Amino acid sequence: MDNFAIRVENLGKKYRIHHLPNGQKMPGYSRVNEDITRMLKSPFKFLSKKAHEEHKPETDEDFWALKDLDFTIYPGERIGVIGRNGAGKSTLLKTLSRIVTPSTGRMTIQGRLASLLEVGTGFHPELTGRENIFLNGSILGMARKEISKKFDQIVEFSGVERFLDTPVKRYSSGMYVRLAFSVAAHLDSEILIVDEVLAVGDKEFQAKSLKKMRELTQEEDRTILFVSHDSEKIRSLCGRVIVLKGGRVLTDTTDVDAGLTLMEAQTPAK
Amino acid sequence: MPEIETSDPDIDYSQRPLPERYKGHRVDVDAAKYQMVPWAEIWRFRELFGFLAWRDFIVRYKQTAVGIGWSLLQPLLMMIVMTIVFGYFAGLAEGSTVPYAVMVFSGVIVWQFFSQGLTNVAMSMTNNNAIVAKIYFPRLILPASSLLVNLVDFAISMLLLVVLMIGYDVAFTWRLFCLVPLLLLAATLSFGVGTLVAALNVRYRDFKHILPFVVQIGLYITPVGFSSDKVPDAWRFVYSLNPMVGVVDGFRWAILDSATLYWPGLWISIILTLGICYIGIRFFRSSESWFADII
Repeated sequence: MDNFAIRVENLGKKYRIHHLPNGQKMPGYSRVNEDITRMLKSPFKFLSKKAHEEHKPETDEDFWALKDLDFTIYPGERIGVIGRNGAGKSTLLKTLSRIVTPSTGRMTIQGRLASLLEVGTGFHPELTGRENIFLNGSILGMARKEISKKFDQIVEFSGVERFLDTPVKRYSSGMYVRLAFSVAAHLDSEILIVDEVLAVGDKEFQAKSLKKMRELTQEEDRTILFVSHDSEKIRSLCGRVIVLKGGRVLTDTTDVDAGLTLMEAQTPAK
Repeated sequence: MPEIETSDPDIDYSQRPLPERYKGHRVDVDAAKYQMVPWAEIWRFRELFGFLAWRDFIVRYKQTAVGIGWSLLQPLLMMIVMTIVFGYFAGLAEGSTVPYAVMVFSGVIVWQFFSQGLTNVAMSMTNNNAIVAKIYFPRLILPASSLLVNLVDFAISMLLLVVLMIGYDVAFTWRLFCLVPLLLLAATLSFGVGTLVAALNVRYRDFKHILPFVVQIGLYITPVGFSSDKVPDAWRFVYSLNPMVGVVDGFRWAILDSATLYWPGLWISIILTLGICYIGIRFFRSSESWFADII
């Protein structure tokens, strides 16, 4: 059936690690001298995307941050993505958000997708709160009309009415975060990818945020992918967890407790 | 953790039909597919394009006393200095059939448009690294929107040009309409060179230091403060291999009735510009996949 929100088939993301002569490792994208030699040797080949991927010096080693991922996510689900450090959570979120391009496989997304990987992406310190609501909303994929419509709600949720025309560089960090989250909470995207750093502020505001996310899925059929280290938050929000280990799916289950137990049982990754 | 309602009715989400609101927003990402300019995608993000340009515009003169007046003062001061230095100290104004100030100014406005556009485009990726690393959008939007801001500056300098032309009693002719395609040529050139440098700058920040230097040299090898008629005929063709020569000469020809145009120079400029723009966009696009990883 074609009723999925996200379908991922055989998805993989490869990074390259460069071994230095002294035994150290560094991310191996390219080195100036090599690039210039390659460019001079075959300038046209250098311009093609394929050539970059096929070019592989002997000192480089491939590292698969994600490998052979297959899963389907349906509208209305609240999914927790969990795993130890280095399990590939961030890479998965970035790949689904299309910030990084996959090395293998394909994915299909139905519905607009917004990725909230940090607080206040694209906030500009020199702009006022009002201006930043519009800018940030647009960066997160909202139409201008939609922002204008929800403007009052956003302001009310954040509680920074009095400082709307002050540049956000003069905001306290709490005000900044609340304003940023309020914009995110009022997005009209169908699929939200949320990093736990977004559940910020004091306890009260955190609870308010989680409640809001829950409402979005139950009342408006939104889909949420939530990444967190905090079992409590996963338990209170998610109805299904995907446990990652070494870039692969270890478990994909609606039994949230079982998934959390499995994750905690693992030895921490190096 | 405050208690939250956790009871969830057992819904089998996989059996429900696709809700109405999800329809019409399908995106396929295939690791094996590649398109040079993703037009449809860019069109979908057109509002973001506008917002980014708007942001660049209002941020630029925040906390300045003169504000947008800088867009007026910069070309004006540059024109005055160049007219005095090149026109009178160096004596290049002798025998000039046109008002030297207007001749210099017509070069200054297009040079400023090109060089500032080039700098903005080239730095657009690294200046916006926070967004690039966290949000998806067709990356070509960033260099394009940073070029748009320069159009405002250009419009302001055009007003000044009209004032100068009236002041020096320069006739307005039909040739002024040619400024539009010539401006487009300058924009294409700065976009082409800019995207190339922008992509390289993500990898090697050396370009941040190289670029101002190159722009500075460019000012001297381009006929901004003097007319390219001063270049010996034998060297005219070689001199025109700098694509900005054709653009600046074209601007002068369009503004000043008595100026002549070296047509081969303009053709060289058009061909080189198209070639550079192709290479720039191509390189930018082929590098795009790792921008977010290393920016």
